[in-house]
Amino acid sequence: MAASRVVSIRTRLTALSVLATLAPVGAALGFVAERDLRDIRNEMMSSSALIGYVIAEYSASAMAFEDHGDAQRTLNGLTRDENVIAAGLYDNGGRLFAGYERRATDSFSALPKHIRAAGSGTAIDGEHVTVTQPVVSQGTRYGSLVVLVSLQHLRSRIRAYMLSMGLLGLGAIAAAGLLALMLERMVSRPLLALADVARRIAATEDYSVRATGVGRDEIGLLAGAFNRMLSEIDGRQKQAQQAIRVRDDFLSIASHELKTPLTSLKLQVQGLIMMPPASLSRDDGARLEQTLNVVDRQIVRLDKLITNLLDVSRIAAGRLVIETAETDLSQLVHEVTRQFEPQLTRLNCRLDARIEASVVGSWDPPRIDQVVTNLLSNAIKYGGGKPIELIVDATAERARLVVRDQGIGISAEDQKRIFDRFERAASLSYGGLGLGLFISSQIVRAHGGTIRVESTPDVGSTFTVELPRRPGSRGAST
Amino acid sequence: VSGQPWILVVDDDEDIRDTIRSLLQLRGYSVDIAADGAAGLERMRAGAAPALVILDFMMPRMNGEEFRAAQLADPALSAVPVILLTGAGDTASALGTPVERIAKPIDLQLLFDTVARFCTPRDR
Repeated sequence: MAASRVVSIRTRLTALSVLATLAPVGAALGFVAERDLRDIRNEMMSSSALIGYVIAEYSASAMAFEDHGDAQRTLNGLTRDENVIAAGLYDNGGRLFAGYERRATDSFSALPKHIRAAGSGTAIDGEHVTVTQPVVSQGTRYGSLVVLVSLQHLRSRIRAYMLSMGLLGLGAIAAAGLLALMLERMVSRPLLALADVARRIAATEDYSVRATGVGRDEIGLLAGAFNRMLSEIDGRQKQAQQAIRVRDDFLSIASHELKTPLTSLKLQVQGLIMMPPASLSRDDGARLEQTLNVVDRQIVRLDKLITNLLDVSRIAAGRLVIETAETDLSQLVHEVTRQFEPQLTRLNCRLDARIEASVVGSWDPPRIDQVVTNLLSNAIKYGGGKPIELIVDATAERARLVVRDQGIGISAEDQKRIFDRFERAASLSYGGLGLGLFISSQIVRAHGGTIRVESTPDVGSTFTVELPRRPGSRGAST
Repeated sequence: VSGQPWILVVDDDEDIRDTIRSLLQLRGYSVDIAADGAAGLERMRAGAAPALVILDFMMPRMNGEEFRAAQLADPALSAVPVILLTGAGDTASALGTPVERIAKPIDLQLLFDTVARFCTPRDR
């Protein structure tokens, strides 16, 4: 129902152009015609009156002497004026004295046979101007003159004007149509093109499509805004897709990482189940202990993975809470390195530690433990078995932890994103969730400190953490 | 293990490869281990070829797929059967035959049964 009332821009433009063209031209023509026709009419009336006056003057003596022939000759002089249809002289009794008709007939059909006497003046009706003039000589009235003047001239002028009006109207409509077409090309087509682009995008969900071929006018601005909006949507969609891809990759890594300790656990437990209890020997007792050690390690590993996952969701929800206590960083680092000793020995990897006797500050001990453990295990994982350097020192304001390896290193490109969630520089083959540095950087930041990396591929990486010793004071220098 | 039929376990996870080794040894097999594909190839070329390889898929340096490509390219090793340990999301394609796949977490009985199809223990 509403749709039937919708008038397209094209139709409206055409109507507007017709109006715009026709109205002023029509008004001007009408004005000119009205003035012109009035002038013609007045001119005809005054010239008719003049004819009447002159003829009456010349006819006066003929009427005074009742000379019909002379009166007729005077009237016949009107032949020279083609607008005069007829003229008649009437005596005081109103009877026709002498007559003239342009189209000569015997009956003088155009002239009245009698008139009422004493009339005088100029009148106009649909067909002619009628002049009634008294015929007077030396104060005596002898009768009246009636002259009929044709309005043919005025009518043909009116017809010419009507024709002009009609032609103008047609011309205006044609011009308006042309104008509307041009306006439509300028306004409605680009709009329809924009609508078409929008429709195409809705159908294909391809946000790389752009509105093209638009000028720099208002519609061009609209198209520009439209295109910018598309770029924005396109960018956001790509970002969202990238985020989904990263998340999917992460899920695949996470399930792999969770399955590895489970594999080990399952093998150990199934191995134990297969051992007949009756046949347990001293050797088996030693093997049992070894097996349980592996089981314990795998449980710790699973626990760490799950803790990391929980930390990430805590950070994402903004619920990473730091509970500070008086902490000796040196002592804490010593404890962490002690936990890594068996692994370092197994890998035949040397750890050069230069740790100041005591660096006390106000930090969250388990969280700082997490950072140190992460940096040290990364150094071992990516260090290629080469010596690892560990430094702890401090100024009055802040403490510093440096972990340096000589391993595979990190490219400049990757250095920018290794502190981001789910990101890692190394190939997936190295294992791990790719969360360690993200969590570490978040913990350091929550302490008001900084973490940074310097690295050269195939030469090694150096991670430096700086922490303010007291909350509120800035730990970072640039 | 020289002269005897033996099994090579290639896995970057220390606990898994040690566990598989000790469990297979208890069954009477001769077993050697390698921490990644490159080390595994090195070990295979060092002496007599193994009777069977138990291969992890995701490893640093040289993963299962690259190991398999290198193995198939070496005429002396290409015939050695392989049991592939696959995790979730591993796309173990173009690995060629003969390859058996066992999904992680590994079922020990399935591992024993599969191994037994390719290799007999020394003495039981």
